[in-house]
Amino acid sequence: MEKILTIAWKELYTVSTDRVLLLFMLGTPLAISLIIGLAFGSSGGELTIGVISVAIVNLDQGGVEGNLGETVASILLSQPIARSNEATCQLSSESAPAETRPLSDFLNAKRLDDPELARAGVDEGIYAAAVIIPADFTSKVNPPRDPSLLEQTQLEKTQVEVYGSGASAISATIVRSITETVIQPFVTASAAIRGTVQTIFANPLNAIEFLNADESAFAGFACAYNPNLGNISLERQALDKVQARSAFERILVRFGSAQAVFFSLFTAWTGVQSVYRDRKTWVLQRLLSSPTSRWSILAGKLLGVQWVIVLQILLLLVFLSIIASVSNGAFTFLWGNNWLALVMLLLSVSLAVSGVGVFVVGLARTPEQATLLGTMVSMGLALLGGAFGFRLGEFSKLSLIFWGVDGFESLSSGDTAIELNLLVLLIQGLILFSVGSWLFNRRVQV
Amino acid sequence: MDAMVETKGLGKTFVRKDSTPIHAVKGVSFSIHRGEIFSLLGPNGAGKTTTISMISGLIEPSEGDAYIGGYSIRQQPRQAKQLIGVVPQEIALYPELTARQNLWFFGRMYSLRGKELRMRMDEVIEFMDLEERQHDRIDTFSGGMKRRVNIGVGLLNRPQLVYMDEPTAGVDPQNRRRILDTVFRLRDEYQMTVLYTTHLMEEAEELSDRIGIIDYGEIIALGTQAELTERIGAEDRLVIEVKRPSDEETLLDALRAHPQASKVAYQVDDLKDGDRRGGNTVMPAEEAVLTVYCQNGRKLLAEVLNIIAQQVEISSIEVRQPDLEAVFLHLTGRALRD
Repeated sequence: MEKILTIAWKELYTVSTDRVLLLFMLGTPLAISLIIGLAFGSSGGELTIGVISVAIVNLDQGGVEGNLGETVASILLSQPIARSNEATCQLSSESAPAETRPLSDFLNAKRLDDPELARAGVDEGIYAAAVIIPADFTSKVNPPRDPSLLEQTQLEKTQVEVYGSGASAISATIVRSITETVIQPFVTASAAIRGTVQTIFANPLNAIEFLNADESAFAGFACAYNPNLGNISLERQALDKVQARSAFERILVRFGSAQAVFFSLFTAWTGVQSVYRDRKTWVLQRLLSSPTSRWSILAGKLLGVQWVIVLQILLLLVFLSIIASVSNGAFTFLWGNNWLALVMLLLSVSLAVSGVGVFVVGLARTPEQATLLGTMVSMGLALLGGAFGFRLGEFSKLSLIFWGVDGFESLSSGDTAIELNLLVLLIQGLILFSVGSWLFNRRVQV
Repeated sequence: MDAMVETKGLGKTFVRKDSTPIHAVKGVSFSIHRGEIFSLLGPNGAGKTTTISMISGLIEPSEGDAYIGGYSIRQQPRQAKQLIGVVPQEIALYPELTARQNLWFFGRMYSLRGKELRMRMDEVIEFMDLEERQHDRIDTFSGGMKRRVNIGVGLLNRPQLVYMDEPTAGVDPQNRRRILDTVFRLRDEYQMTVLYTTHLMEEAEELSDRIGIIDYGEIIALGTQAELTERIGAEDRLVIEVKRPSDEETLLDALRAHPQASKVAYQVDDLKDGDRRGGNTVMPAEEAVLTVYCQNGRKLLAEVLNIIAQQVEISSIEVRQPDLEAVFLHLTGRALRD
């Protein structure tokens, strides 16, 4: 075992002292992630992307105060906000937003009535995303008038669905972000109203007055739903599992983790391939003529590659969090708070990646073949798995990058249900590692 | 005498893709005594590397066995390998590691650790005169320095048998001398057995206590230099460089017909140092070398020249006394560098 660890240590040490290799392994994926994040994550300047096609479906049935879903839809469609009451919401100069670009600069939104039609449009690539506002949106956002119900019920999560396509993942992410921004004031205002009502009912005299009030008195609450007046800071509520973060963070999570896994594939097969160099320089023969078994040499080599991959992905995840922290001006850990799940996912991804490396090198007859095959396989998996910014539907699930990135995204949003990801990665890794090791052992005969 | 290495019917058969067997080594049996420098000579493809690879445990023999210090390389490979130190012709080191890190790494492969490993490393560094550069990366070393580290790694486990494969290849005369002196010191000061291969006949002559000559996978001669030269009858050689004759067989028949010529060798390659290294450089086809073996070369010279001059133009002529190269040529019909 000591010999295996010594060989593995040597592999790790060699990589850690090679500046050019480190630049490729860490610098390149970080640079790519940062550039994509800045370009599409609205952190660091104006958006430079083209107009995104999006379908808007408002199923909201509305309520006493009007149809809040329609308000959301109107904002997304860049249309005037229709009000169903007489209340006038005055914008003070202090609370007026700074000059911003209209949404129509970013979104080419089209109103549809049928959610299935909208989803189909996304699947067919007509729309980058579909925003579907549910029938009970207003009723869920509005707090119940009855104070007894107010005590019993919790602030309900909005159920707005942003249906995105893997083929245009970045655009869908941006639509999610915009939708979240539009909806956030409603959530905030809902909580504020709830708080106000609770305060009123804390004093019985106020409560009597409140319950006897005219219906029109409540119309004033509608002002609270004006997106431009929501200035109360409350904890953000997630629309779905990846919407708890900003667009920039989401891009770092998705694109950054995809780049980390993608570049680790290169580390895997080039690391395993180094055994050919050892054979050429007779280092392998020298090792084999020592009292060290062939399997110890192979195990040490593969363990070393495994260590390098784990460290590479780990460092990239840390660096991505540092970038997010710098961007936010506060410590931001992108990968959730379940350390055990994160470690397990990291190890599973590493095993699957090194499995690919061993398999590729074992399959090739020469180092040149291994280089060609390794490059092709890495690029293919990246293409399938979404490392280039888009996914290929169900085919993406053939790539370990998809399962890795999906797992990292889940953990990032606080969802630790990544059992399937772990299972797929482990099975893939074990099969490729076993077959690859067997093939590889045959290739290193001297 | 106590044998450090003993091979018994050691053989290796490779199988081609078309299932044709190639008998690289055919049942070789010989022994190397403890504390001697033994040179194994043979032209390329003779089976020298395969034999040594089997002895050092790199490849599995197809038949027979080799015993290192009494341990079977097939049955007890770990014990046998523990006694061997290998110094390959290539610089078998990690260039990105320092000399000391390389020694540490390979020392660990011999299960050395802690204080003992440090002591061995210091010992080797001092022995190979590497103190000043021990913390420098190998890729910053000169060729001679790399060779010294390469040898040092092979000595780290204090082997009883050191296999050195052309350790002076590509080094300058000063470093070459240093390496040859090191080989002598290994035998004389540390009582190590050295298995040495080289293409340089003068090196083999200077170093070897005994020499084995291998050709076509078989040991065709084995003994001290004196025994080997005596074996071929201590004949002189007339080495004549000629323009390549149009009718080679007629010329050779005429020479062989001479009653005092015991053997006639014919080569179309020259024998200049370095010309055949790597097997790529080919002698211009116009040149040829005739070697005539006889008891008294100077006396026969005029008659031989007369025969040759009738058929082909002579470029040069030399009379050589018996030496190891003559033995090799006599036994194999080829120069060592072929």
